Amino acid sequence: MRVVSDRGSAAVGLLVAVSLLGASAIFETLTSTDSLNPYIHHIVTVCGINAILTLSLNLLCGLVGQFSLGHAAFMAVGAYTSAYLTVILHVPFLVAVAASGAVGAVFGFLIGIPSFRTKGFFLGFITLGFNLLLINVIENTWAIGGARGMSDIPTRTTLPLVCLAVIAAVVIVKNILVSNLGRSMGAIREDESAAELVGINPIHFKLMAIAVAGFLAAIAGSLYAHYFSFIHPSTFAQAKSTDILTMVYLGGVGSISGSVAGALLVTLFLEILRPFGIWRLVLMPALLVLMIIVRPQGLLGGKEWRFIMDLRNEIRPAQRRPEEEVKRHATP
Amino acid sequence: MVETLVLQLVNALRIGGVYSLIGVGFSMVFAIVRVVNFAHADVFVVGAFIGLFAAQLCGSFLVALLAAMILTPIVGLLVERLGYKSVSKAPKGAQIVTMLGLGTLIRNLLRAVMGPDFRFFPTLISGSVPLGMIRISALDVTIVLVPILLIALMDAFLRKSMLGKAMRAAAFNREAVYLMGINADMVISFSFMIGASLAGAGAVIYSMKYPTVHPYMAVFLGMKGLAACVTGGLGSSHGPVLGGFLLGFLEVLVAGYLSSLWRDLIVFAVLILVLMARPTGILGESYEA
Repeated sequence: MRVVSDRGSAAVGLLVAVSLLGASAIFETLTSTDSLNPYIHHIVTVCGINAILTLSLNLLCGLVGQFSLGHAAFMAVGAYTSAYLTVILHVPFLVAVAASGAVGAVFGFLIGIPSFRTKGFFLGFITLGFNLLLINVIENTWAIGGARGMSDIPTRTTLPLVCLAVIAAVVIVKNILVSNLGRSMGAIREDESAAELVGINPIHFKLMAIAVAGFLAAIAGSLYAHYFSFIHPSTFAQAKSTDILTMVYLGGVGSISGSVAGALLVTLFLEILRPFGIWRLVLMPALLVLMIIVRPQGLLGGKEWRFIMDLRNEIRPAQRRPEEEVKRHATP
Repeated sequence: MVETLVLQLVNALRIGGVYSLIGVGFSMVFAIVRVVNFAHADVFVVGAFIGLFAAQLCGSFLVALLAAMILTPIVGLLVERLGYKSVSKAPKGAQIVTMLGLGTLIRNLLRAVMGPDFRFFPTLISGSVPLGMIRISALDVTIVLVPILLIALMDAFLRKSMLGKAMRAAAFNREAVYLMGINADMVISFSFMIGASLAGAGAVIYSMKYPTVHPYMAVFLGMKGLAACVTGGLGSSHGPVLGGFLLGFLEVLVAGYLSSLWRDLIVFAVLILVLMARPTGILGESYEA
């Protein structure tokens, strides 16, 4: 497994974070004074929300090697919690965002408990079932709008806020990755039995990972609800889960930069191809299949942008060949 | 009273038969390559379109069924080549995502080529059959009996034929199969093709009862088929059939005696409950996916 150290990137990272926040604030002001096309503002915001989702899923798929097929369920949990709190209980916006994150974490934890009793692809089926079940429950619950969806959610999500959330998500995932926590998770991903032998309790770390992933995805859902001001159960259907998976694997599973890049790439690609109508939805999966055939590790698999993490300081086991490294790294 | 009961039974058998036909394809592929064929539901839709065109051309049920069963495997083979063979060296997660992507690709390609319209599937079988005091439509009899017949044939094929034995051997131990001089690549291709063929048959049968064919018709149905299959035991030969009929009966019970709103919900609730109690499904053996 890779042992990542984190020297040297903090200063550059901080600079990038501050300039991104500044840029987003300028963007927001320009758009609100009508000197910039709101369409661009919209795309950038959606990119940011998607990036939080991919970072969240990457924590599961890339770091602990657990597969989630229903990640949109956590997003739905966040969106509906937040909408319910603000619309019906009139809770302040930021409190609602924090609360929905907490509820997402609890849901992640609760789903993790039965899922991690056995090894293998099990979590995939449980999350898939949970995704489909949850959408059905929402559709049949009239208190939260049922199949009509929920509207008139206060529009409070701003671009700087989304930007801040993305930066926070990157920092959280990165700190998990470079800490003891992340190393234990990596050990579980590479060889669960061997990890157990050195005293790592796999269930403990998997639960932690899925709770954090649930938290991040729920925050993304909450931001989504307060951006579009309307949520509908079908938004969070299994197709959305597949979209998040596409972004993660296209960008490169296991890589933080890859997750952000995947979210940006897929969102922008779909917008640029809009003139092609339905054919863009054919081109997108075709690109994904092609990418995995040509480059199974994804665009940035095994790599990181230097301002996020400096891999030059990575402590590599010397004897392993690079291609084997990449292959092992991405095995869930 | 008796009439309602018989009709409910027919409903349950019909739904269960379609789930089983879909589930066998999922299970057969998973048993050998340990990857869930997420494009399976979309292969099913291709089968429905093939059946539709055959039915429009000659208006015969048997021709539509045979056309779907013979032509759908071509798509199954394409799925195997693109979604499995070309990425078989990639990590497992990437393989699963490829399958998901391929499913989306087929679905949206159908949508782009065929258009979003709902097409009406012609009525191919009319008349009714007397059964004691009540009469059952010949259509219902056909769509209950054909899946059961096909599954029985499938079972005999897996047990008796050389290829069927090779498939079971490959499911048991992939590496040993190579040493026995069996062309494992061919076995894998056949598992995708036979799965696709059964899905094609299921699609024709499904479209006869719910006569609208459109590109997104199987998004939810495929998920339910997969849920039935996983409940019964993914990778086992009888698991998907058991799971399919179990969920078919459950759905009819819930829709008939509780509320049809909870019908879909119960499928996934049962899936999660069964997986909690028995992670490999009711009849499944343990596997390391």
